[in-house]
Amino acid sequence: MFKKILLAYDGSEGSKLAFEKAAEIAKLGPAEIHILAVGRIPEYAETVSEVNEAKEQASSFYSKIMDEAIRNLSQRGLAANSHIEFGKPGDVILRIAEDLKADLVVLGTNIHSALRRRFLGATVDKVVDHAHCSVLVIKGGD
Amino acid sequence: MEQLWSEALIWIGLALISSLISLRIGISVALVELIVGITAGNIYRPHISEWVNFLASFGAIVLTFLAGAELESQTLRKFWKESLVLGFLSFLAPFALSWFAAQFLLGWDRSAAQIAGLALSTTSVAVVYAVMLESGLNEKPIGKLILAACFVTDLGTVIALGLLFTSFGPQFWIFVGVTIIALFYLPKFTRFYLTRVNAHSSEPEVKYVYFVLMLLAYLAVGGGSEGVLPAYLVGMVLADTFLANKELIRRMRATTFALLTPFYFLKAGSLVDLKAVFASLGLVLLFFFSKTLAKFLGLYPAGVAFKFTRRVNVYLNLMMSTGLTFGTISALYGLTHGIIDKERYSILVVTVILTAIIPTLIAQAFFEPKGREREVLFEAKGGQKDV
Repeated sequence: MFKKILLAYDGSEGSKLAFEKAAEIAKLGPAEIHILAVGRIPEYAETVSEVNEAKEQASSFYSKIMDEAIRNLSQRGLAANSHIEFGKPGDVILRIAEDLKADLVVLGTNIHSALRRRFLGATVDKVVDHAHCSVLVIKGGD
Repeated sequence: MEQLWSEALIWIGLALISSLISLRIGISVALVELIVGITAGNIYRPHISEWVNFLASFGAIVLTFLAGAELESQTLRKFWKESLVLGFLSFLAPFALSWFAAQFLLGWDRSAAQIAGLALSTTSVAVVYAVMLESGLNEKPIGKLILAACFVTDLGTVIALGLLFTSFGPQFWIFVGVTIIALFYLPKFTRFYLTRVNAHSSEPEVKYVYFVLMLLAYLAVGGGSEGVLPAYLVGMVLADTFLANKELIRRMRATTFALLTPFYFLKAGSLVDLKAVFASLGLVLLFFFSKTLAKFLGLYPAGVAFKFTRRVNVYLNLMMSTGLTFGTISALYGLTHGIIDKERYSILVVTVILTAIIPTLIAQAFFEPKGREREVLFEAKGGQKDV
């Protein structure tokens, strides 16, 4: 079974479904869970302070979501580590999965319009195509 | 009066649209404003009145000040040799090669060719910082060195822009004298002033900075120089003071991003003639490659001398090939002073936009340092505590 699970989590409905599935798999293992939130920072920025402020805002926003997720897992008898990173979600998930030597990445999907998906790309597609390990995609609502 | 409000409505509307697009797609508002400005300029041509020119010029000055104020003096001191060498070469090589290409291959007159050289000599500290933050390299010594070197490059561009087109008359020397005195006394006086005014709600700190920038810009322009030169220098000498006062930087940025820089980037974009760009795509490519090739010619051998691995060296070269704000400032200076025409301006601005995007994409996709490469300079400089 899986020993180290990386869960991509942003508090959205899709990621909440992925959270439930990751917890379920971890209990069977038992496996170590790492929860990752990825904050967006402006690309091609004007000033460093603009980037830093976006980073601080994202950190503050995701800290609360992560604390809640960790608390939820601990109530189920599961220990987890949280990570807040910055950048393009797909790239960051791949990098952290490699750094942690995770053997499973779990992530949820939210319904995107076809146009948005075409132009902005989908995180899921990127992770499935390039991950070094198994990837479990949980399909969710909007 | 009605005309004034209708003009204002259009410009602020474009700024608002840019912010909403930026929010949605995660790309900085500066780049979006440029692109929205290009689109608007080629469809509707919004009127550029004196007040728009003023807000745009002051926006460029405050933005330059904020860029200077982000200098990490500790890193510059730690890696002074590497950052000075890399930063200077990163300025000089593309400046010289693009100047040469414009003057001798394309037949531009000398001043116009120098504007091309300046617009393409720059780097973008903020663009590079955002890219490195994604990989965590901004915390590593190599990342800090790249940022310090970018500061040196932009300093070279700003000094050259401030000096190349001046006549060195008596007013210029008055400007130089006042600037030197200001740079010497400002850090101490500013610290004293900030403790006295104590973050009052009437924003005396922001007004103080604006006063200093406007005074020096007035003297610079009167002396035939350019207001961004003293703004960058003042930012650099006040960097440590502002580093300890992040709230003030935040308040200044809020004012600047809301009301000043949108006018600068939208105006800079609206002056781009897309027909001219499409008719001269070859020149855009020529300038793009003259910049990136020159950066490699200048920086790669220096990286080898500093014993960087191939991947780190190429990454550094690509990062320092970026450009955005100072590139557009230089090109707009050339246009507004009649040194280049709209066609050349359009070619340079589109090239600058491409240099903000393409090198960073290539660097992230293929040359991001991994594993031990990320620690280059770490062991040699005695560990992270010193950096």
